[in-house]
Order: sequence, then structure tokens, then C-alpha cells
Amino acid sequence: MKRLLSEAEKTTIYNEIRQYLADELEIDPEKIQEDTNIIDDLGGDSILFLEMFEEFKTKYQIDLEVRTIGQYMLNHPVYTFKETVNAIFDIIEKGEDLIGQESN
Amino acid sequence: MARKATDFFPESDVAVTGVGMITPLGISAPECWENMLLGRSGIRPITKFDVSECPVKIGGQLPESYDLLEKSMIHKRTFKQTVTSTRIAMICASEAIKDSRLEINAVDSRRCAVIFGTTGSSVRTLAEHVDGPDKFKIIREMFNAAAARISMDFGFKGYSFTISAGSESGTCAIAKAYDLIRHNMADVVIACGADTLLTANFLRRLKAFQCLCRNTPDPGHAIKPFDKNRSGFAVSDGGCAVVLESIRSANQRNADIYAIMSGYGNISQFSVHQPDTAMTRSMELAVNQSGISKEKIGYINANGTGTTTNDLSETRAIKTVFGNQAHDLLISAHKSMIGHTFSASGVIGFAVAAKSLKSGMIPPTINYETPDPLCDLNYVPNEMIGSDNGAAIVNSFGLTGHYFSLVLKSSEH
Repeated sequence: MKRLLSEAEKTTIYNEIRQYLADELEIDPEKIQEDTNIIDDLGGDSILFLEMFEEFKTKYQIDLEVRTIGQYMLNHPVYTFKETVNAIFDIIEKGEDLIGQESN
Repeated sequence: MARKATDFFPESDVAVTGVGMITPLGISAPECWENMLLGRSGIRPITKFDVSECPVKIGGQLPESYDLLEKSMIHKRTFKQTVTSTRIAMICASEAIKDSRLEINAVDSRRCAVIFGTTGSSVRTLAEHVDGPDKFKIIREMFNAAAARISMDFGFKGYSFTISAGSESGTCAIAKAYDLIRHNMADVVIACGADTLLTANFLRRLKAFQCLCRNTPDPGHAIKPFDKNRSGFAVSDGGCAVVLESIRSANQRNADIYAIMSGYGNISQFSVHQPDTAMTRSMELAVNQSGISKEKIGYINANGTGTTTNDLSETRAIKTVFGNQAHDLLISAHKSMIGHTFSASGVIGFAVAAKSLKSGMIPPTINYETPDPLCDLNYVPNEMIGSDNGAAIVNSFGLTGHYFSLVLKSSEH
């Protein structure tokens, strides 16, 4: 299943991710900039990424195993807010094809 | 000719280069140390839970200032992922590292280790089971949580594990840290003990051991180690961390050294009756491994729980090991002021002995009022004294059968 997110949808998801991080880390969303490192700058941790991916997978009804996301992250390191947003865009748009050609 | 234990290891001595401490007497090592030297008690009426069903209604709660310290040092998300004993350990380790002036970039992080000792507070503090988010239950309550957190906080990539040996868990952490360095398996080790056993359930269950002090309207005078009218100890929350380091590492980075650890003894005897022989053996093993002559030992940081049997047995054991020299020794019990912090207690004793060797000041045994003819040694009653000593022993003996003695020597002798 593939889908293409419109710019409007991307803006909505961008803001949802920012708000999710702000809620979980109990900080002002304004503190989260695109180059903000979620672990080093905001006190996040690796479990937070797993929780976040699960949250957005469920919300956007993506049928995808977390281990596939783990494989994806081997080639697409996710540390900053911008990298996180791009990863979630990829997860929603590519779904189970997330690592399709990359794994071959 | 028999070989000495010291012949086997490439590194013979281990430096103590940092101390961090949180007890009912204070939220930093300097604050605790100052209050110990002043002979103050941290025991007070328990207010943090309902004591109506508890056999003893006094204990060693942490100072109110601890909550503020925790809020300033622990991130909100980390708070939800940890229990109190883990947070105490993290803050103690942070203070110890800062005190040691260790920069992780200046050492090989793969040779920096963490050993945490606990009786198991992480799964014993019932309220924290219920309060925390369920999704964090595993990482919050797992036994290796504190060691893992400390390793992550400081970028230590060597050994990182938790050990449990009753109330000697922290002491055991020091002993194993010493082994890691002596066996050249690590350069730097944070050894830490922390427990938060001041709970209603624990007090009720501990009653079976007949070791708790009597209630008194004056809690500060409740714990009376070596006094004729001693009745037992009060339970306290607390933690203590020390940085142990190979002499080579400490010298390379020009670290300040509190004292040198030069040996330990450990024996198990699973009977609460007549522990004299285990205490004697523990001290003898420690002295033998250290290679230090008994004459150089001037101070003993006693286990000194204030129970009728422990204090008598410890006195007898000291007399057996030291003979006539026993009467010349200075012996003090920090539990008279702090109470029993379980896994932290041996590490606190170790830190006190290290600071004593460095500063020449010995904190007292407080509440010593009526001499016991059977406990007739010099327990440094009620007031600190100044005394330069070449070496010291730290005793840490437990209700659950573990007996440890640690030997420290001055870095200047």
C-alpha cells in the first residue's frame, strides 16, 4: 500500500509529531526546532521513538511491523526532529514497502 | 614460600577519587560529612506514610531538600521511568563523578564500569508499582536499572551490572569494583549502593528480626550503638557512590586521592547466632589481603547497628583480631546518626573511612551514654576527634549472612 501525503497533510502530521513530543517530554512545543536532537537536547530516549512510531502507525492505520522500522532506521538514522518527521512521512507513505528496495 | 594475594595482580592498589552521598543527614557528601562530624542525628518521626500499623514510628527520611534536588537533576520523562532508589543512585553517582573531576573523554570509556548494589528496593516500594506509567514498568523496576542509567549518563561502556547481597550489597559492589581493577578489567569503576526500605511493609516485616530500635519521643537519641541501653536501629533511605580507580589512571589524570583501598575480606555465615567467628574471619581476610600490618590500622568504621548482639559480637571480634591493640583503636558507628540505609550503609562507611584518612577527622558514635562492661573499646563517644591514621577497616555485616570488611590506607603514608 502506498499513499502520497499532500502538503496540507504533511503540515498537520508535522504539528502532531511536535505536539506528541512536547506532551511526552513535558516541554513547550516552541523548544522543538528542526535540528533539535531529541535525546541529547530534550531528554528523550530510544523507547520514545518506538512509542511514537507505534502511535502514528495506529493513527494512520499503517500495517507495518516495528522490526521493519528498525531495519529502516539502520539506513536512515533518526536523531533530530526533522529526521523524525521524515521517518514518519516515509512510514505513512510507504507502509509495508518501507524498506522494499533497500533490503534487496 | 606461600604467595600473597597481592602477587597475582598487575595492579596492587586502588584509589578512591570521588564520593557522592544522600542520607537523612544531607543531600551531598560534604553536607552529610559536616553533620556527622557535628554528631547530628537524621532520625525523626516518619511522616511519609501512615505509621499506625508500624512497630516503629521513627526513621531516617531524606531531607525535604531532596525533592527539589531530584526535580532539578532528573528529567521529567526519566522520573516516570525510574524508582526513587534509582534516582538516588543516579544523583550520588553524578556527585561522585563531579568530585573525582573525571572527564570521560580523557579515559577509555570501554574500561569504565558501574556496579550497583541493592537489596531490591526497585520491586519493593509498592506505591511506585502502582503510580508509574505501565508502559515503563519493565525499565522502571528491572534490577539493572540504576547501573544502566549511570552508565548511560556518563558514557561508561565497560561492565555495568547490579548485585544483591542483602544489606551488604553496596559493600559487595565496592569489593567487586576492586576486583575488576585488580584484574585489569577496568580502569574506573563507580560502586554505588542505594535503598529506600523505609516503608510500612518493610518495618512490619522487619519486626520478626527483633532488630529495630524502641520508639522514643526523642528520635535523635534512639540508636545507641555500643551503649548498654541499645535497642536496635531505625530504617533509613539513602545512597552513596564512590569512584574507584587504578592508581595508574588516577596518577595519569592527576586526580586527588582520598585514600587507597588495599584489600577486603568476605565470608558467608547463614546464622544469626554467634556471628563473632564470621566477623573475625572477615577482618582477618581483609587485613591479610591488604598486606598492611595490623599496627598501622588506627580506625574502624564499625558495622555498629546498635543491636544487642551485633555490637557485642563486633567488639569481641575486634578484640580477637587485634588483641591488646583493640583498646587503642578508634571505632565509630555512622548508623548512630544516619540509621540503617542497608545497601548504602557499607558504601557510606567506606566513604567516611576514606574521608577520615584524608582529613584526620573521625566522626563520633552518638547517643553513647551508659557504658556496657562487655563493650569496652573506644567508640569515639558523642564528639568527633582528630586523629591521623595510616589505615582503616570498614565493617559491613548483615542479617542475611554476608560479612564484608574493607581495608583502606592513607594515600600519604
